[in-house]
Amino acid sequence: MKKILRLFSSMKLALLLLGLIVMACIVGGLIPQGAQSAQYEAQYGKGLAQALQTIQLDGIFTAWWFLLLVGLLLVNLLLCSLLRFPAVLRQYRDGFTLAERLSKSDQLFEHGCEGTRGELFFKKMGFSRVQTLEIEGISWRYARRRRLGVWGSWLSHLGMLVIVVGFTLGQLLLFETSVYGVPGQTLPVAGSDLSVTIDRFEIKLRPDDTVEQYIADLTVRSEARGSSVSGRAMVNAPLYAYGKSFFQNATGWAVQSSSYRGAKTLDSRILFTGESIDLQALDADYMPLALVLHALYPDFVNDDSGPRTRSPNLNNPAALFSLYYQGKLVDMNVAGMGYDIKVADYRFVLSQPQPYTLIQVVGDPATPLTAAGGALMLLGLMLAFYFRPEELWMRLDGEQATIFGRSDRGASLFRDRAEITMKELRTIT
Amino acid sequence: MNYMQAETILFIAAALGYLASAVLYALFFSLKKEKPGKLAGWVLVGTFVTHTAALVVRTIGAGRLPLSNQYEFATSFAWGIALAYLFFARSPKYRALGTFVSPVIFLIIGYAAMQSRQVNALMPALQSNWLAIHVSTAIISYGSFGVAFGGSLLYLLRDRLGSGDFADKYFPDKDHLDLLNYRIISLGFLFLTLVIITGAIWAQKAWGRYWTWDPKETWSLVTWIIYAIYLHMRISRGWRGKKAAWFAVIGFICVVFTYIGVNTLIPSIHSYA
Repeated sequence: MKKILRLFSSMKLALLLLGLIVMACIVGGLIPQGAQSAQYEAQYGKGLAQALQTIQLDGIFTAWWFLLLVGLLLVNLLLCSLLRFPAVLRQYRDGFTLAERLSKSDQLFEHGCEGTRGELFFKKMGFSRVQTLEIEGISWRYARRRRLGVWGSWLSHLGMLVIVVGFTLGQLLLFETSVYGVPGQTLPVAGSDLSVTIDRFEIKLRPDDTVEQYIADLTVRSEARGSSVSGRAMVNAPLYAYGKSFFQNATGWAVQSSSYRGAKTLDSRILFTGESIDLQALDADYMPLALVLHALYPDFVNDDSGPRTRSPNLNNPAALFSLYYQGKLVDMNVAGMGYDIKVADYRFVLSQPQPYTLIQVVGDPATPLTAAGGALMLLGLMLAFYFRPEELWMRLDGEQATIFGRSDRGASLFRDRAEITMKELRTIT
Repeated sequence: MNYMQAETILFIAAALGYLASAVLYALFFSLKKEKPGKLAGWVLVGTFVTHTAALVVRTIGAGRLPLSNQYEFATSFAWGIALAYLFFARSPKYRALGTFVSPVIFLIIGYAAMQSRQVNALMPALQSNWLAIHVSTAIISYGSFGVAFGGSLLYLLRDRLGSGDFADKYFPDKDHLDLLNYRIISLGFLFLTLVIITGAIWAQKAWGRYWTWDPKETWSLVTWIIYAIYLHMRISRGWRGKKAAWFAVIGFICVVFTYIGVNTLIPSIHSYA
């Protein structure tokens, strides 16, 4: 059991796991993740694409073997933190007495100088609280500082552990969905008791027609609580309501679409780019005809560069559509707003173009835990790098002094600083 | 003269200054003459001041910190390496380090020169106070790693540089160099941690998820883990010398790939960075 415990808490295992995770991340950073099979086949060829997908290199960060590596790292960090805790606590609490320090004789350096320079050395090295002791008739000075620094490495590892736990919990408890619509629409948030009403949506443009901000005024209603929250969602400034965040995520165009057979209205709806109207889905007796709205040009022009928009302003809106008969493409064209798109006695009319907003709804209850982990890690690193525990003690033999120093962490830095300080002091006459 | 013209002149002067400094350091190093080394140091200081002025002028002209596109980050990255070098290598003992650091600064400012210098208004995703915090910490972190890279190259070559008065005076001994690299990497690592944390906070506010395994995030993590392994090996396993130096070189290659490679070779939601 002890052997297993030692293996799973060992630094060797941690480094091996980190090395393997790095390699997996490099592969995951180079191969597109979560793409369609066709993309991998086009990029790598059929055989290689299949091999990539078999060993889950197309979704490394959710692959069982990657999660196993992270799980093992988690176990390692947990054991490491638990096993090291008593030793670190002891190191922190057990204030060394000078007698103990002398009995260990594990000093890092030793410098001889005059007594008065020795006192000055303590000051120059930043040690303010110096104890004066007499042991067996010999006068000693002893000081230690930055005791808190012993926690640095431990805290940074604990921080890492909390981050991994928070991230894993976040993956398990994450609520994520999206809704899209135009002002005036109320949309249910799938998987919750919430609904979102889009009160207003504005794309704020600069004079040069670049986008300054996307602004969505929303009302979120909770059926279970019988209350609602209104507010604004912009890029970088989500709306928070009922434990969820509502992000202004994307935008596109929508039109009012109407379909007719002769004078009879078959359908009237808001059609978003990428959506279609399938007449047979409305009624099996209708012609097997479907219209797909591909894009909307708000300021349409067809010149040498082909069909395009001159600006994002609705000066001359036109829709790019295609028509399918029995599932086969029969026409693709651009139609202005209000024009009839006719097939036999059927008509489609597209009008009232307006931008729609896509609101992403996210709830991750583990985010505060991950944030706490990040804060712990930062604190730990700062303590580990810039708050190293140090000790100085000095033996006084009449006019002569011998100074000793010790530091568990950053020993070479402490030794070098002491050497430089002593050199400086020796030049003082 | 408008801000843009003034910035262009200052930027070109800075790029030429870094080139001159790199050439002078190379002369100092190869001819083992003190004078070009001293001059290189002064040229670098003057160039750094000019470069700072270029960044200040751009900040005033654009009405924001110059941290928002490839050009702005590249020029700031070069500035960060120069700052870290001037801070860590103040002593003449470290003068030889300039021979390895100044070409890196010149290459990165050269990369900046190849990018569009147009001042564009910020897209909505970049309109956040986190931009300044996130990118500033990246500049300090990457700048530190750049100097550690130069220091590691010098370390790897130190044995071949021989000894004698000149070498003793201007080429730091291996122990000092190793320690300096460790100190610089510690600072860079602390700031890289800050880069990742501030980036995660910003991503949470902008995209709703603090971590999405986007290539930029993934490569930042790769870089972080490589330097974490370096620090662990050094502190716990007593890794010093050549092994540590090679690790620092690999770490900086990752830094450069995270910045330039990911932006140019891999599709990423960080495509503006």
